[in-house]
Order: sequence, then C-alpha cells, then structure tokens
Amino acid sequence: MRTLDYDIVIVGSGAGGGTVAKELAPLCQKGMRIALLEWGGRFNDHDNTRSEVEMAQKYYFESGGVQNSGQEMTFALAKAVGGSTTVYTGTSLVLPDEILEKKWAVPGLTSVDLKPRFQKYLKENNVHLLDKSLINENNQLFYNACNKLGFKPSQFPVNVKNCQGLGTCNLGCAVHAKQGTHVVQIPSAEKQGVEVVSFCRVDKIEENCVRATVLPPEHGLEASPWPCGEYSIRTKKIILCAGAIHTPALLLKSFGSFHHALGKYFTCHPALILVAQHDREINNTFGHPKSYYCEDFMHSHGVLLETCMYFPFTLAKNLVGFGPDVDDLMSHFNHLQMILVLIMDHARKENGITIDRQGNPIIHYKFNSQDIAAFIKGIRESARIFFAAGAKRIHAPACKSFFIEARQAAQLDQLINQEEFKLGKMSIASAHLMGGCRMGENPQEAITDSWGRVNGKKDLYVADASLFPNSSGVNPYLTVMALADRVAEAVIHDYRKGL
Amino acid sequence: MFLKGKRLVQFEAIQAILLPRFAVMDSDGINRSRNLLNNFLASKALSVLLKIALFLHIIDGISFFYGLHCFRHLPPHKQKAVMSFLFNSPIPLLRKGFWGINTLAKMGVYGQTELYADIGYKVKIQGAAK
Repeated sequence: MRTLDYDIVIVGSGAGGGTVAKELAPLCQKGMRIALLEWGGRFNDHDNTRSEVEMAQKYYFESGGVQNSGQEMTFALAKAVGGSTTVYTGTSLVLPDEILEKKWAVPGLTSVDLKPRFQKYLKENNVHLLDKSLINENNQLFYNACNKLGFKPSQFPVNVKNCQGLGTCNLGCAVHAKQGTHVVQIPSAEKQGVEVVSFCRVDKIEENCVRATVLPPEHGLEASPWPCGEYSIRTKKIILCAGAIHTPALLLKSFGSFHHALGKYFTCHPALILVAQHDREINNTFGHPKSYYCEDFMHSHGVLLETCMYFPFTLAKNLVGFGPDVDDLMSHFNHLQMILVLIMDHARKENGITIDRQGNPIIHYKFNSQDIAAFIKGIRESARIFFAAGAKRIHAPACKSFFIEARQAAQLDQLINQEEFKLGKMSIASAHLMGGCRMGENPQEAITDSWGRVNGKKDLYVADASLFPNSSGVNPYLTVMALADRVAEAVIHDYRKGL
Repeated sequence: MFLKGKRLVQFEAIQAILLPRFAVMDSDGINRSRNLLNNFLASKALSVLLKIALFLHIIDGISFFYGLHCFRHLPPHKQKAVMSFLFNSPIPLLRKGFWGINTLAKMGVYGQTELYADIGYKVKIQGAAK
C-alpha cells in the first residue's frame, strides 16, 4: 500500500466535487496539495461513439440499471470525471425559494445567501435559453399543445456552448457542448494545481485518512495518473461528493450508523417516459432533446411534465408490454413524440441507503398512494397534451390496452387508472438522486450543519445532493453547485480559524 | 458466456414471442443480439445471473402447466399465454422477473445500432449543419 500526503481530498467529481475543487484550487498557489478522486474515467471526444448500449456501459453504474431493493425502479448515475454532469441534458433551474423556505427550511440557508452563488454558476456554465429556431418539432408540439389546453409551458434554460444538436446528451455529449464540471470547473481547478485522479475508488475513510484503490482503465479510456494499487492518503480535510447513494454508503461503511438519519430521507423524482405516435414524420432526434416543461400540476398533484427524447432501447424498455404492438410502435420512431412525467416525491425516513456485507449500497424506496396518484395525474395530462398535439395514438402505462387511439381521447380518465398501475410492470426510472446526509442546524436531526460539516466528525464535509433535506423539485445540479460553493467557503473559513 | 446452449435456445424462443421482429432477423442480427446481451451480462454480479437463470426455469415450470412442455416446445399461442400471465401476474415478483427478461429481449433487438435506419431513428452526424 502506498502512502501519500495531501491537504484536502475531494471524493467524487460531479456537480459537487467539481465545484469544490475549483473553489478551493487557489489554495494550491499557497502550497496546499489538493486531490480530486474519481471512481470513473476521463472521457475525451473520441471516446464517445453515441451508440446507446455501449455508451450506457461506459458512463453509467451498472449500465444505468441500478435498481432499488424492491426492483421497481432504476437509477441513472454516472461514473466519470464530471460525474452525472456528463450525462444530464444540461437543463439548469435554480432551486425555487418556496422549496428552500418551506420544504427545506434549513436555518441559515437563505435565498439571500444562495442567490449570488446561483448567479455565479449560471454565468460560469453559460446558462441561457436556446434560440427558438433551434428547438425541434418534438418540443414544439408539446409547447403548442400546452398552450392550446390553457397550460403554461416554460422553456428550460440550458448550459450548452457550441451545441451541434446531436440529441444524445444522456449518452455523454460527444462534442462536450454541455458545460458540466468536466468542461468548466475541473479544467480550471487542474490549471491551478488540483490533481485529478481518475479510476480511483474510495474504499473507506478514517479520521484524516482516505483509503482508496486505483483501478485499471476500462472501456479504452486513458489510465489513471496514479499506478494501480491500494493507497492510504493522509489529509487534513476530506470532502465527500460521491452523490446521494455513494456518500451515505461510504459513511456507513467507514463509521457505521453513527446517526439515526444517515442514509435516510432519500428522494429521487421518479419518472416515466410516455410516447405518442403521429401520422406524419416529425423531427424528434435532431436538436436539444429537452426544451420545455409544464408545472401546472406541481402544486396540485406534485407532478412535472417535461419534453424528452430517448434512444431506441431506452424507449423499448419503457414500453409496458410485448409482442407486435411494441415492434409496430418502435418501427415508427420518426413519428414519435415523448413526454417525461416526474413526480415530486417527499423525503420519508423509510426511503434510503443501507449497505450490504461488502459495503455496497442498497437503495430502499417504496412508493406510497400519493406518488401513484401523482403518476396517474401526470399520465392523464400528458395523454391530453399528446392528443392536443395531433397524435393518432398514444402508449400510456397504467392502461389495459397497449394503445389509446385518438377517438378514445374523451375517455382518458377511465382508461388510465390506478388499478392498472402495477409496480414491477412499468419502467420507472430516476436520475435526480437526493438526500441521505440531510443538512440542518439541529445535530439530532441532521448529518451535517448547513455548511456541510459532518456532525461529530472532525475535518469531514459533504458537498453533494445527499445534503438535500427534501427533494428540490427541479433538476438538482445547480443547487448542488450552490451548496458546494458554501461548503468550499466553510472549508476555507475553518482553515483560517485553524479548525 | 451466460446465454449459451439450452439457456440460449430457451431465451431466444422467449425473445421471439416478446418481439416478433427478432423471429425474422437474419443471422447477423441474431448474432448481434447475442453479443450485446452476453457482453452486458458479463459485467453483472453472479447473484443477478442466478436470478435470471432461476426465472428462466420458472418460465419453463409455468409452461408445463400450460401445455405439458417446456416453453420452447409450446405452440406460439400458449407461449404468448405464458408471457401474458407473467406480465399481468398478481404476484409482484413474477411481474418483476418478467420485466427483467422482457428488458433483456428488447436490449438484444433495439440496442442494435444497425436497426436504426429500419425503424426511422435518425442519428445526426457530428459536424453536420444545424
């Protein structure tokens, strides 16, 4: 085992780790040594073939097939330098004040404090509204239909630069147009002296020590700068940014269940993909896949509708059924319109992360009647949007038949119902993983304080989505960055104070 | 290699019922399906592979009740009936097992990039005009 010495070790390089690395990087000029450890590899442009199954295997934990213990939902989380910021669509929404103040209600965490941090990353990541001329027909149909029905669709701000509209954002951008941490914050941190160590899996943490293993490179990616083998890294500060599954799991593996809330209160915006078939060909795969959302049912039913466009296998997997109907629908890919239904789940103690005997994470998640009612509402309203957009038929989960034809549009409430919503039958997926190390100012209830300092553990911080005390209601990455910015500030403050 | 021998024969009999497109694929398409699936399954934990193997046995067991034969020797309408039973089963574990097999079957077929043109999935070429 090799032994190394650093001042700061950051575990994970996604929205949290990349941000913390960049914010702390100026310390390198003062002679401090900072290492950013990432389990996954570093992707260059030539590493991305845009082939669905191949890229899923390269980018995602278990090819995107991580499941909860009940096997009712899959979780998409990336393993790469840049973490999940490599595979999101780049939609960039600020945490709504209402959620911050009412649903989170963390003392000391105010919109006044967060606003300038959000502004910083909105600018740094080139967040803007795409020009309308770049929005494709799949998105436009949703927008027009929402307006026709009297809903109020909004356009997603996105963080792209020189986007070629390849439409394969969720397979990692082949031209690195998305301004994730692998494009913006990590290169900046590296320039200032932060060492990025890819293929470095952190096995355990101890007080002022990180035990890690550098693995051989996978998938033809470049090897880690450190030789393969086991490492013991002595460090003054450790910042965990491994995400809402692996950060709680690492804490549990390292220290046991030292707090009753550790790993608990996990939320994830569970989602379903819905699809409609039009009579004519539509432009659905060229251009940014996610341009609009509709939050008309957020407050009343806790459900958000978004445009989306996925790839052939992902779509096929999400079709509830088998036989000729599946092949028939799939054969008309260039006639298809898609909507993503996301439910705004609430933090519940029974949903969370535990570990098995080997220390691997196990995700526990149970749907309650409120979640299922939200799904049903989302499916029904999406169906209305599809038909208002001119679809000739739709495929809706929670319906007895595979297709609902346009002539049946008046019977949607009867056709789509709770009795047909059977868990294990449909492909529920999640990409917004949050909670498990909830922050707060009451050490009895929270794992960290509102600055990410782990209660009762010296020199240990958390700076990722596991800090969220409840779901964010929006894509979490910008909120993770704003919180990570605070954590970096706390680390610097503690250094200055000699803490 | 997980899908080989009798297990492969049984799985492909299931795959052909789940996706009729598979039944009419040429040998290149069938080989691509096998490669995709075996490559995917190669990285799976032994416990996952055991679950899949067990569920394939369960399908054969249920098939016996439907026609005194294992799945691949049942007539197509009975094969479809077995799949429908699992798909709509009141027992969540059977539904989940079916979901897993159905997902693998779909990966083998719709994970093939060679199929994109046939189904109308258009891939924008890098560097092409906006």
